[in-house]
Amino acid sequence: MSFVFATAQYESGDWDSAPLVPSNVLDSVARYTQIAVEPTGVIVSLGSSDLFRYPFVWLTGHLPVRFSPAERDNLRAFIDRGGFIVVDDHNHDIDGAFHKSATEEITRAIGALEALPNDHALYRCFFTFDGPPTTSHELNGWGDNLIHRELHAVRRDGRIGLLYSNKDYSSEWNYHAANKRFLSIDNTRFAVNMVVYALTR
Amino acid sequence: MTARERVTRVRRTLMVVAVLRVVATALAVALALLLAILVVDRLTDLARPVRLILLVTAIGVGVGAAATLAWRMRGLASLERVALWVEERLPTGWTLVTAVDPRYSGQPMLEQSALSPRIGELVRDTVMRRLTAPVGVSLVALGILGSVPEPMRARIVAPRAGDVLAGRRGAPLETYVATVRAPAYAGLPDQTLEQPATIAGLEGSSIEIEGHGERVLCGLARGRCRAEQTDDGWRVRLVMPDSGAVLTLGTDSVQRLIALVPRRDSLPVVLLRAPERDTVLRLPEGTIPLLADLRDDFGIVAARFEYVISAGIGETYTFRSGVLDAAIEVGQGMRGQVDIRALGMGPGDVMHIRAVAQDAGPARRGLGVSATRAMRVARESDYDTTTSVILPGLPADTSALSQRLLIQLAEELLERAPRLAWATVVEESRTIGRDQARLRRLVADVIFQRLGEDVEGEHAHGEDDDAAGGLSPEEMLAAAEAATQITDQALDFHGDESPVVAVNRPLLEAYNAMWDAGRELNIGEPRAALPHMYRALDAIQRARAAERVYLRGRPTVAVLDVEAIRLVGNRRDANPVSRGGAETRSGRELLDRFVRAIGRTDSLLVLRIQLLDTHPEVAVALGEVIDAMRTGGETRGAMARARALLAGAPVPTSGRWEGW
Repeated sequence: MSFVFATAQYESGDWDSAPLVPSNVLDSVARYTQIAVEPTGVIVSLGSSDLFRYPFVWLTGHLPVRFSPAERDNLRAFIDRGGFIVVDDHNHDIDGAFHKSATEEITRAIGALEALPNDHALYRCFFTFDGPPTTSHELNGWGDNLIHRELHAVRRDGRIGLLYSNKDYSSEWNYHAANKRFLSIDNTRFAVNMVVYALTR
Repeated sequence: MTARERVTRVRRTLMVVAVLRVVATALAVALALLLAILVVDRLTDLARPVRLILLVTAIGVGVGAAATLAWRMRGLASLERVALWVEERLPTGWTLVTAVDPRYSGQPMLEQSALSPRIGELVRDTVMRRLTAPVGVSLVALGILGSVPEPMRARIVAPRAGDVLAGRRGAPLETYVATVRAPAYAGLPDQTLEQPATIAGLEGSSIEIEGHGERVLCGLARGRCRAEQTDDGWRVRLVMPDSGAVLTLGTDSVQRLIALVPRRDSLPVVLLRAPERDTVLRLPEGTIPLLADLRDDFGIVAARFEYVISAGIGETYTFRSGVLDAAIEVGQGMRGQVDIRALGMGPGDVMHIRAVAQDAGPARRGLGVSATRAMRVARESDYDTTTSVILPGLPADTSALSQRLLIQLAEELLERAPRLAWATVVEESRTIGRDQARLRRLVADVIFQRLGEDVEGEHAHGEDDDAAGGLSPEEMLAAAEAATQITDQALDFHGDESPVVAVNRPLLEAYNAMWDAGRELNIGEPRAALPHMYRALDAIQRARAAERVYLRGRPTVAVLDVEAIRLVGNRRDANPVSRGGAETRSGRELLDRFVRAIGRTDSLLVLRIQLLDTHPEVAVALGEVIDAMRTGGETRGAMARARALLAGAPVPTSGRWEGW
């Protein structure tokens, strides 16, 4: 059974704002691990039961987020059953519409976000990081122009169920995987940690 | 006839008899043993491996007996030994033995002994005596075996998977056989399984399970199964579902669960190798080679290169598409070429090209497609201007609420309206209306920019005078349509409309619907506003689809060549992957459940199905446990392995001697 990168499609907002992230992350998983991967990602509706077929789901966007009741219930069940979802603020703006509405929706659906310590197992489960890797977009003049020191998470009994990021990995990783050869250090390595954590914890 | 010739003739006859005797003896011994095995099988219901061993043993004993006999008759090779054999039975005072000796042959006195008519009688008598017993036994054994029903006989003479049903009848649902037939396109052989706890096969395979005894009922959570009575028992038919499932078979007294583990037929993986990247051509001429790699688990049945050529400038574009001839070479992918001049491309034209492949699976699953490459023919003006890299557009106005969100808010307000005061409903409705108006103005910005009008034109209405002053919605739509010089064409992009019109017309429709929705919301009528809001959303969606001109712009176009990139990354600072921590509650829960489930195979089976996706290695170990428990085999090793995997502990080795 191969790993499938699933992008969450939700009713409100622009869920497809980072179309190249799936292939890029899959490329990294194949490049560094022996995990079997599918050559392309899939799009799964957050409100459909198909969500439960994928242990790892990516959710991003710029616009305000308002989950439908079905999406809210599904997200709650997905986390409770051991799923792992990454919610990434494509605006990298803690004062932005996505951040405010998404955090409110997450709190409403599955509980409050809490800061994830920078020595958490997520940062060591494959590659070693001192904390969440910075992105070239955090200080690009848009968004809040902050270096976000930590990620946030909703946990279920010690295990991360939802990982929330303001670091805009959706912009950072939204390029064709073939262009990785121009980078001295692959900036998608943290994605491998996310996938390995999701599949092994 | 001389004495020597006579003895030679006797020897020839005896040799024929010997051969026949050897064959008949081998046959008699083997058939007698098979008869004995058949009796034992009827009494004890021998397992297939045991029957196979006994069959080989019976044949071996028969061959051994024949070989022994042949060895004992090796004296037939010598003429003197044959003469002695005759002398022993018809004494002639050694004259016959002497007569066959070349040194003394031809002497009349000796030759007389060869004329005795009793030699012929002796040979005939020997033939009868030596052949009667083995041939008789063989015929009797063959007769008995022939009278045994074919399924019982086949269990002994040709043991095969699935013949367990011809054995003794046990308790209900104790004995059953499953036959899995993969879809014809896969070309896989049928698979027969005896008492399987797990049936694995290609998605869509037909499965037939047969057994003895009373009729059974069947249940399948995903998909349908059909149980029917047969002359000899029962039969259940079903189709392998597309995801793991548990099939339940039951009678009044017994229930049995069977895990169904499907294997999915993947879509073809298509990688466009050449052209390697997007290209700008200096002149509209030349031939460009095309190369694509095709891979599929069951084989490709059709593949081709597809292209779309867009030509035009400004707001006038034409599109045409087609298919290019391609040759598929086994192991080398698909090759073709595109002749730029033959396709009539001119300066400024852009060709989008991709490779498409179809496998033999059901067509509804779609096609495998490669990434798209674009080849543009340069214009003359390209050479006297500075080339600019087009950056992404300005970010969207993220403060505006989307039409979907506005619809959600209106629907929620409508639900709460019966419990709210009228004034509150009107107030909240107007709030939504204001957001609707903001969104409408954004849409107007897009329309006016595209039509080349004053961007601020719509704002001239003022902040809150949507329905009054300036142009009415109808007038604005008419003005916009006049600007496009199109007033009565259908609102679709499948005809000859230019892309600009195709994009703008749905937006104009959305804009108009937003006016209507805003008007209703402003008077506190969310119910009346919703149909207009739905219409606006639908129109926006169509505009969005029109923006995404085939083939570029669709998400998830990149296809990875997984095998090519596997483990090529630098893993120098990678940590060893720590697997499933025992500290997690999910792990503890699974472990507790595993411990509780020991001894209850069906619970283990359900647990295994649930773990197929999340803990595949544990599922494999549980499968071994279940098989061992059902067949009465050794379970400790597999159990220890499953338990260690769940607990996150080191997995014990098999216990075999190692390192010697």
